[in-house]
Amino acid sequence: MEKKTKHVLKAIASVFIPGLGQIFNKQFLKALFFFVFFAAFLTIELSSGQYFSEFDPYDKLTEETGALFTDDFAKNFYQMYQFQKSIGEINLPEFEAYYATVSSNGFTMRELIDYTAQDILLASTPRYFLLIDDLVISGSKASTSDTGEINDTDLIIGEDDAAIEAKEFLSIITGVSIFEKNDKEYYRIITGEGESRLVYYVNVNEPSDIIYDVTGYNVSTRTGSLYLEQSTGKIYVRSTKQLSVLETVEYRYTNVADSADYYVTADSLSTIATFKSLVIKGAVVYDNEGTIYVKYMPELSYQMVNGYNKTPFSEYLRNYITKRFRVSTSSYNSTNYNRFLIEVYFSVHPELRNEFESNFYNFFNDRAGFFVKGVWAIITLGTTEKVTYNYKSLHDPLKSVTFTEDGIQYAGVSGILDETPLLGHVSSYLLILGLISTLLMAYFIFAWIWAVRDAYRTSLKYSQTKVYVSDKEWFLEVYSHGFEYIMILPALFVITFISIMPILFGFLIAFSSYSGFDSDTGLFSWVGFYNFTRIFTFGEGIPFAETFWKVFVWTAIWAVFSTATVFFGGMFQALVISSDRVPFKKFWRTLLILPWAVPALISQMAFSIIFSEKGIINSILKNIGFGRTFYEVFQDWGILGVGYNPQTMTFLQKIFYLGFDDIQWFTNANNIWFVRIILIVVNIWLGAPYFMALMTSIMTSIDRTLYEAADIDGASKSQKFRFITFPLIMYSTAPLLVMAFSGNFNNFGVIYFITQGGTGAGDIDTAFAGSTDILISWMYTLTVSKKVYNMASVFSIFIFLIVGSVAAWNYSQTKAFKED
Amino acid sequence: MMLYTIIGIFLAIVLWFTHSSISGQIFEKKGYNKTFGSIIGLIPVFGLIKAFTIESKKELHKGAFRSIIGFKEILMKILTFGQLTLAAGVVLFPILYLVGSSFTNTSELPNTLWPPVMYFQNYTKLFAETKFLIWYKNTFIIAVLSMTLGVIFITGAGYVFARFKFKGKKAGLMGILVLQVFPSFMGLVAMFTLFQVFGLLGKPTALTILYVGGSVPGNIWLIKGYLSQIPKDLDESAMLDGASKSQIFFKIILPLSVPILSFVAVGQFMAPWMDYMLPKYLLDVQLAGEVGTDIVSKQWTLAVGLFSMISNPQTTSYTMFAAGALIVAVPITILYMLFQRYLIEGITAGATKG
Repeated sequence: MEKKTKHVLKAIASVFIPGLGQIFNKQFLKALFFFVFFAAFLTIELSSGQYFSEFDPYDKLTEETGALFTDDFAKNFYQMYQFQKSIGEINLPEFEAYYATVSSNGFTMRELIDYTAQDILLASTPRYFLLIDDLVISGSKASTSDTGEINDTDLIIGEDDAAIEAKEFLSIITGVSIFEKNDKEYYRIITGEGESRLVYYVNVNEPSDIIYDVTGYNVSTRTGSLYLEQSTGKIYVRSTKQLSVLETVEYRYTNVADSADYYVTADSLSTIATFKSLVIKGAVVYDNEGTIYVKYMPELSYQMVNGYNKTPFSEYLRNYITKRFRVSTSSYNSTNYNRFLIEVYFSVHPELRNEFESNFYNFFNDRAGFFVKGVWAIITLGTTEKVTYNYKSLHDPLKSVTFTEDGIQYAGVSGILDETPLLGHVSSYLLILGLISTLLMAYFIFAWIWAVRDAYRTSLKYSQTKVYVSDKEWFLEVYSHGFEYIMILPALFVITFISIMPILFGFLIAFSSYSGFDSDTGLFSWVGFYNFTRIFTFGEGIPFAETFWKVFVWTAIWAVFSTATVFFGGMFQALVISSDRVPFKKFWRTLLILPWAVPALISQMAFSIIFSEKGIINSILKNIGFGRTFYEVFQDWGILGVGYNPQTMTFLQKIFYLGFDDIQWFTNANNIWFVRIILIVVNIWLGAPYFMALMTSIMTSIDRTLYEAADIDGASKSQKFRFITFPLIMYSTAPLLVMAFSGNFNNFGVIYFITQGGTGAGDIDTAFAGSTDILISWMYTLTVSKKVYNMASVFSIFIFLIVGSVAAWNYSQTKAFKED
Repeated sequence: MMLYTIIGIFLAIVLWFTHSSISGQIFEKKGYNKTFGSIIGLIPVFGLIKAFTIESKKELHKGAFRSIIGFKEILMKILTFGQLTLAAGVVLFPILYLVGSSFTNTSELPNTLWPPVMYFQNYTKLFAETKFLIWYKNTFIIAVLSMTLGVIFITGAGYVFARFKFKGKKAGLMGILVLQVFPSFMGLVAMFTLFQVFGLLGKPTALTILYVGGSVPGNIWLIKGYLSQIPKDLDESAMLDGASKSQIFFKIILPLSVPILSFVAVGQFMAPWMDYMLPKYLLDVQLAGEVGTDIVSKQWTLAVGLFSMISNPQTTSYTMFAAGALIVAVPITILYMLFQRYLIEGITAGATKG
């Protein structure tokens, strides 16, 4: 027992440091051999990470936007301020007071930014203000010009919270689409994004009245602009209604307080002269029992107006920056300006700065090495959402504009953005990286386990035989046994990273929310079996469940029939050729095998041309016939040249409906089974020649004596076929038949190149599947053009299960499998 | 009118072959070579007369020809040749149409089987107006690289799997089978992301990695199947003579596996010509900082380029498509026709014997 402990201890030593156990076994070369693996592992991990160097999340900001102005910039700014103050051009006592508190360690850029933010915030207090009180009528238009002054009637957020709560503010819905029919109006409400996007319509007057379909309704668009009726001081919302595509626009002015009070006019300005448009700064409009309040939130910036108010300091600063940019030696450009704006924005919204600092500094993502990061990536798929910092609300105080000073005109800096997007963690990259690192780690773990087992075994063997195997002998033995593994290793590596890794990735995303156009550059998460439940959940969102079963049934029918027609078509042709009546068998065989030799892609594309609506088949049918052309005959039967009308057409006309102008071989939306049958027929051309060739060669190799014996027994031709030819053909082609079945189940080419999925491909109503789409081509559309990766992956797992069980059964029947 | 002409020609051909077949059978009965008789029978009327009048080498019993020219037999012959002629027509129609289209002068869909006037400019236009040559070059480079690398990666592994018993062999072989059953699209997104991470999108040569990687599993089985047929005694006697495993591999196995390696090589070479999905998804990508469809189409391979000629409404040109398709298809078709026996039976052998 005591002895065993020794071996285990050596093994444990190798667990901690591979090679250590071997040293205890006095096998130093071998120890080195194992240690090399361990060292390589550690080297990769440490050198790919930033374990020992500092990491600053702001570096990322610098990378994506530009560097911040240096501290010298701030110092120069202050010097300039002092100079201009000394000549009496500027005087900002608050700034000086601030400077006095921080200047002891020199003036830094961060301090300048903090002061700028503080100064701007002070001048723009968020509050509710009475619209009427702030109206300044200028010229023909009214506008509110909030100068930052606070009126007695204003309710300041943070100070008057109780008063605000006492008032019941009702948001005035503006700027939404309105659908209208029989005096009933519905707002369109859209919630969610991508797949979970839901559209419904809510009655303007009765929120409980919700509809989902607005067929037959007229569209009217509320622009949401506010109007003041000057004589009464009443406020109206203007909605616009397009009466027809090209013609008149109708305006409707609805009193915000009383929806029964409205005016309808075809022309906004001339008819109601007393109405003045109101341009309201950075605001949401609220209605409190007929009194209109505007909520002034400076950080909300709208198309026409910017949020924060400018201050004397901000104006001085922005002009200073403009001047600096205009100096010929300036090394700054607009990216630095944008960075400056972001930093001020961060100081105005400290919560955003905190969020940024915590989101963009993640130990695993930013500092961990290849392997640790990989494991983290697979488990979490990333944690930081991509963000877009919209700092347009700072444009009024800080955006560079053209100005004149001392008779010199300084042009404003161009290239200043409204917003800067910042890529967060990209889940798809992380998953790929995670899989690569985990798979690579598997190799190292394998070496590790090997080292541990070796330490234990050598020790055990020594205690029994008292002889250590010499290093040299061991290496020779490893080489002779390892020859196989060494030879396989390159192929194994290729398979691991180019076959297994992508398939693993494809497999895993079935369990994720990876879908939608944004998901390629953003986050997705693990959702367990949710996507699998969706193929059993009917009537919700995009109809994946309904479509899946429809497509699945068609795929199965397609696979069975296309395989059967091709197989038996080929067999029939082979029988015909092998008949005694046919001379020049080689000629016929060579001729009829042509379709197999022509690349399938080319012939599939050719068929899509030949059978197109203006294609040659139709033009032939249009021109030939027995007396009357085929087209005319079809038209007489009422299956061509008429619109599809299920009410008036007879059953036969419905099932043989061919199309309107021309025969729609592959585009017939009304008669999808016609299209599908044509597809199966066309596929015979593509597939049967292979089986024909195969079977003729099998038939010629059948032992002649079998037939002679049958002749002696007086067997008829059909008996010879049934009891000799057919069983022998089936014996050698059955595995191929199964393979052909799986091949057709996944026959992307025929479906995609001939029909491109058929009618309705890409429609959201059919979950993007067209009428002829089989699972594989549907998957392709989902992946490539619709980016519904997770559902595509669910379907491919389904295909795998079906094709896999068929193939597994097939392979288990082969000799090769049984031998090994 | 046209339909009657077609039916007339059809019937004439059927009768002609029936005629030839009858002659052949009569010649056979009279002890001559059947094919020789059938060839004579290709000469209308004369052939049949010759068949009846030629001197028999064998003793003929009375009514010997009844089984050849009985009513039922003649009807069967007509049906047989009717079927064969029809099948030949169906087979040739699209091919002829494609060839004919490539010589048609129209910007529309050609709607005659063969053009009234031969027009050869589609071929010159193909090179002048499209990037056909660039696509051809892209595809050719991919094909050569994937052939070379594919064979290098596969040979050793295939040999080991065929010849040795080792731990994990069965699991490995089963694993490979499982991998192959997954639909090929499953890895598509991963490959896209992978290419994106490494900046390989839109780089044709990078596709080689995927063709090589994707083919390894299938080819291991193929080579294993072939090598299993070579008797193991060869290795064993070499082993007794003191040859090492690598010596056996290079001196004995490698020369013997030249046929299967060339099969693999041809397969590897062919694949990129007709693959659409991978190049469409990974090469038809507008790279950052580059503007214009011109640059994107430079990254395509032939399959993507050809399909764009019939699917993209802006660049549709059916006649140029036909010309391009023929340039690609003719060499491949000839190759397939020459090696059909080998290819078809090779696949059968692979499937049944492993």
